[in-house]
Amino acid sequence: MIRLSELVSALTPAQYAELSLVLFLLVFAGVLVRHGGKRRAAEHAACAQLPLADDARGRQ
Amino acid sequence: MSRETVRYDDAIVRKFVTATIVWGAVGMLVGLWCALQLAVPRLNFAPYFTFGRLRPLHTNAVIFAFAGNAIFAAVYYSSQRLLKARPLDRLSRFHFWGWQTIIAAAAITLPLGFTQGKEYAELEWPIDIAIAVVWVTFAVNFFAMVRNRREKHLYVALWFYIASIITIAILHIFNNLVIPAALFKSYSIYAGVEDAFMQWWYGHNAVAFVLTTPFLGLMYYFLPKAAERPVFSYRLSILHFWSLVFIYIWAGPHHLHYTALPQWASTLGMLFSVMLWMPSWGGMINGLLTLRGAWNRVAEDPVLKFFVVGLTFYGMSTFEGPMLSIKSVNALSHYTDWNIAHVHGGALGWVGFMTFGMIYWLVPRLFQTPLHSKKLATAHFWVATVGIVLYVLAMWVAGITQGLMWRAFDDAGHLQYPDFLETVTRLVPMYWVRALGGSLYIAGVLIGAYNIFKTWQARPAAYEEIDVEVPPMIRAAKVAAKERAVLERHAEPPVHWHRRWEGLPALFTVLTAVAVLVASAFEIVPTFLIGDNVPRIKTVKPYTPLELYGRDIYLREGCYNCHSQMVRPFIDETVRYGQNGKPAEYSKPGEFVYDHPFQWGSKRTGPDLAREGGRRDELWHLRHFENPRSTSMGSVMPSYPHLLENDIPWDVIQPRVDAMAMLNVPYDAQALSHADTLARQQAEQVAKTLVGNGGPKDMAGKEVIALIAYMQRLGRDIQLAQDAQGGTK
Repeated sequence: MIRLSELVSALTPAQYAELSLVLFLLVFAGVLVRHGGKRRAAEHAACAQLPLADDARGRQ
Repeated sequence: MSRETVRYDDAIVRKFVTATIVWGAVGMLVGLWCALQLAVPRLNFAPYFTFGRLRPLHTNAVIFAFAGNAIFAAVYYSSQRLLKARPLDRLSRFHFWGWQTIIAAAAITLPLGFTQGKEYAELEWPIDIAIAVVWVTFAVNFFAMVRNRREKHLYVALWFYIASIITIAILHIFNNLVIPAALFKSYSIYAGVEDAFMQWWYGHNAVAFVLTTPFLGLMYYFLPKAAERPVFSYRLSILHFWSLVFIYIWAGPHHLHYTALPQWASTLGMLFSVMLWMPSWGGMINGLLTLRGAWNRVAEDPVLKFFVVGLTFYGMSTFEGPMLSIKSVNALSHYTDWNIAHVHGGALGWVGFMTFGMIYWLVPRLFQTPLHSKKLATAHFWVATVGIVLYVLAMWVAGITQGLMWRAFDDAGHLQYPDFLETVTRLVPMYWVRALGGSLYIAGVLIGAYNIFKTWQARPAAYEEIDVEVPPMIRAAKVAAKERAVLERHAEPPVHWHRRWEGLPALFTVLTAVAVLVASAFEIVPTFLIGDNVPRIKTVKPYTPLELYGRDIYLREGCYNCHSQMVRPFIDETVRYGQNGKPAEYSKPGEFVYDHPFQWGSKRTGPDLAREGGRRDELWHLRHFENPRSTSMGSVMPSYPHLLENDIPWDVIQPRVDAMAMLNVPYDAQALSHADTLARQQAEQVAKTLVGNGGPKDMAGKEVIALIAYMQRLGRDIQLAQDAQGGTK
């Protein structure tokens, strides 16, 4: 049976680093695509109001 | 829709705010004392109040007591209102008193010398377990609020809190895995390079997830409240969150540039650190632009003053941090006071000012009376701001001076300042300016404490409790909706998937944990599992039982706070730390395979000790420990006369050797059965040599002998490897 260390050693450390950078770029691009456009502007505006509307009544 | 009422628990917030102010003042006063000790070594009172024992107390108090209590105050106040749910009272009380007990335990054990010897993770294993229990209690209490919430959407501040709760738990558990050798003595399960990697994965992310993300959550809640307008861009806050959470966790190796850490890990840490510029500045700009249209109020509102300058320091620190992580800059800045300047810009400016801004905003609401004096709050702001500027400027100058002096060569190619002491005494005037800056900052805190005390005195006889009308709980509403859908055979209307995530805290929490853990998979796991990361050196052997005890004294006295054990591959370092006119070998990963924990250090107030063995005789060391000024005029090191008086407790040595053996340190049968006898024999030898040097008699049973044995061992193994290579040639 293949050992975990052998499995991990299948890639060089540099390849792990490159892969991690690609992974980050994908995450970043994903968030940007999802939230960069104007489609959800109204939704974001409503969310931004939450701290200001958090006490239904009473002191502030 | 039916309405319910909820009564927010402000009592718990009042408790945490009070604890923040009290521990903040204590932690900062200890810091001021440490600063003065570096200018006036006589202020070290051995054994309990030396710099090496007090500096961990200062860092732990400020990070976990001051910042920690501030975080809890912010979380309990804002989360209740954002989620429209009350925490569980019993858990809140246990959380508060548990955390204060831990702080008190730290305040007692650290001066007593109980330490794991790892920066910001000094507390010994029983306290670590208590921290885990209290942290889990906090997490359960927080997620109970999330579960019982009446607002579907989790506001971005809550995301930052969730990321902090999850990540701190992961960091704390993995970095503090130890084998106990006694009730207050343990050894890290990691050694050398691996321990360094784990420690700075933890250490850097303590900065990230204790001192940054919770305060960003605080900023995203309290700044809009104080400015009375929504955050500038909610979209940017989403980008800020995911980028920060994904990137931060990778950056730890930038604390280990040019050390024995593999180059690939170091470079990866640098790249991700530089990438951190982007989300950090995005967050800062988002915060500052939240004040659009309200800048005129900054002039008159102390709360906004604190927030604006706090955010500005966030921007400066997060510019400076990535810059310091660039290898060529780091080559100069590492081990110098520049790092001290950097960390205090962040701690005093960002963490401190955001905390005080929040407190000044909260206090009138919590004590239900106007702030005693706006003028005093403004005075606090200005005095503290001048204090930070003096502090940071002094340490910048000290750090750059130090770095340049270490590297300077004269025209003949010799070190311009070969005596390390020259680079220490040159900094003393800057240490005085730093102490002045720190004093001003603390004066500001004391003004603030007085102002808040006076406000508290004017509180009503009984606090008014307000029942706030809220919608039904989301989970109750979900059940009702499902039942309705079944009855009406009508599905719920489609919900946008990211809204769905944000409405599903469990999934959201898992995704955050995955973002954090992915760095472990790609960065940490290969470091541990790829064998040739740490090439073995045949001549490197385990410490003898006496040396091991000597090393434990080195940890106990906190020597790592001022001395590194890492010769970097620079000509000025190999020349400075060489012997007999020959340059030293730079440090190799294989030298540290039995170092549980590693002792590479992060600051050189004194010289590096990796090649100390054999540089000086035993008597020099004894005199140096007794009174450093007797051998090194102008030294700022504390005196350790108790080491010449304390007897070595021989019976503790065997359990310590056994604990190391459990960590696969290859001790032979004799060490595993008669470690104390071996230790006594070696102590006799060292004492004999000492007498031969003209030293005092009857020292064989004293602790100083063990420490000298350890000092004389440092760097010897690699020397043997060199000699063997030379012989072969």
